[in-house]
Amino acid sequence: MADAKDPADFFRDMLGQWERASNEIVGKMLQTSEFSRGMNNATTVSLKLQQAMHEQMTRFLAAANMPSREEVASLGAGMRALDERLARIEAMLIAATGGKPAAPDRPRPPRTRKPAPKA
Amino acid sequence: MAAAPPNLQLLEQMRGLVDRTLQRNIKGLEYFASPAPALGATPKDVLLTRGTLNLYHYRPLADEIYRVPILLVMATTNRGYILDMAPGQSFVEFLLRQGYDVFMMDWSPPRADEKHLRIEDYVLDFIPECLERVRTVTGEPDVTLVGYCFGGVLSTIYTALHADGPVKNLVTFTTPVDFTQMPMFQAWSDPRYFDVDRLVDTLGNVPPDLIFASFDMLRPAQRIAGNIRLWDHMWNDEFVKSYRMFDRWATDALPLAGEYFRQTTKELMWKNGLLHRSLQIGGRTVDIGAIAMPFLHVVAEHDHIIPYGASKPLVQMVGSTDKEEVVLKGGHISLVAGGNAIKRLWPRLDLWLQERSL
Repeated sequence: MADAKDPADFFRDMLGQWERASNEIVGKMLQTSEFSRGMNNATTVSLKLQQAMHEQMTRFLAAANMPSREEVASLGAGMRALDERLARIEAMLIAATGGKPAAPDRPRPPRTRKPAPKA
Repeated sequence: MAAAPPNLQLLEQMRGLVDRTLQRNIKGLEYFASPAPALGATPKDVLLTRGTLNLYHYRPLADEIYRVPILLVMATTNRGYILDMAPGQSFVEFLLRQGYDVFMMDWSPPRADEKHLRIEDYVLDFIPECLERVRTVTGEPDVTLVGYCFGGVLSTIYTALHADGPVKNLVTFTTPVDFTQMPMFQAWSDPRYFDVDRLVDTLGNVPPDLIFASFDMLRPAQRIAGNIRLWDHMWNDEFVKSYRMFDRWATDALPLAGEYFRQTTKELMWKNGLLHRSLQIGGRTVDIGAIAMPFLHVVAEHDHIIPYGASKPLVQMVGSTDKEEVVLKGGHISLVAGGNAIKRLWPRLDLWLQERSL
């Protein structure tokens, strides 16, 4: 908590007031349909550029007989999915054969707790 | 005792100022040189990892626990460690010490091949699978479901569709149902200007920068003022520690699965399908009135992300006879974590859960 005698308290109050006022004023501006239209137009332009760039790059990589980032990411995702599927099969096998799970069995507290009596 | 002469007071104040300025410089250097704080460190076992979904089981910290386990459902936009900050400031740790058996559904960034995930996948696949795991691990037929923010929306949709399911109690924190009451998000997703199809078709998954920027724009001056406050309090280790924890979490937004984002925008933001009971999930209409189990909704008085108006109708719509809405001081994040939560939400929730966890 700020010291009541701290001379910097004045600036802290000012900062708080500036923050509240700015949030309110700029917030109102951000809620206008003009801002929404402007922001979304900018997003659309950026997305179009991104798409054009992506298409160019894909064509270039295909011509150079190289995998695209998407293809590499998809390979990685496939490997991870395979890993997870194996883990699920392993867990099912353990459950089906009545074996013990790999994780160490920890002592389990009894599920008998009651709320403390009210004073 | 007589007060110190004015000259001495001024000298003391000047000494304090100089001392803090020196401390700011020293600690400011430490700030940039030191690593980010370790968060989400309460010991746990990972029971399930399936693409974006992770299911954790936290190790008990009490000798005797309540019968009914708790499954926390984290919001899909952010990491679950907001509910498990540093020791002594962790909601999960608090629940464990109070004698609850705690599980959490947390999210990793959806992979490129998960861009097709829809609300159906979360509600009809992920939540049921995790509930089944919890029941198997604990041997208990009942579970308390606790959802935070959009995790609350998913929990609400699930329980509305499975009113006779294994969920014994439903708790939601800051959960929106009336999306027209979120004016900023409404303006930015105005269907006249916002081409959600183009966005999703181009990007696949919605990048975290976009999610972070939209949260940040809700309070445009907050980041600048926050940085000035950080410099002002740089001498105060506790303040800096807390700032770093929350800042790290806030900037650690997750991407959203593309179809899930498209569906949320069209069905919830545009059509307000939860409030109008028009949302169709798996060919069934989601009627919140079907929820009949004990229900608690906790909302924050100064929530700038989910304003009170957006979450207010939830408790009225739920069909339960045992239902309650609690409005607590604080904001969207300080409701669940930090000093405010320790003082207000956590003990209040514990009190509500005790009798219903037997």
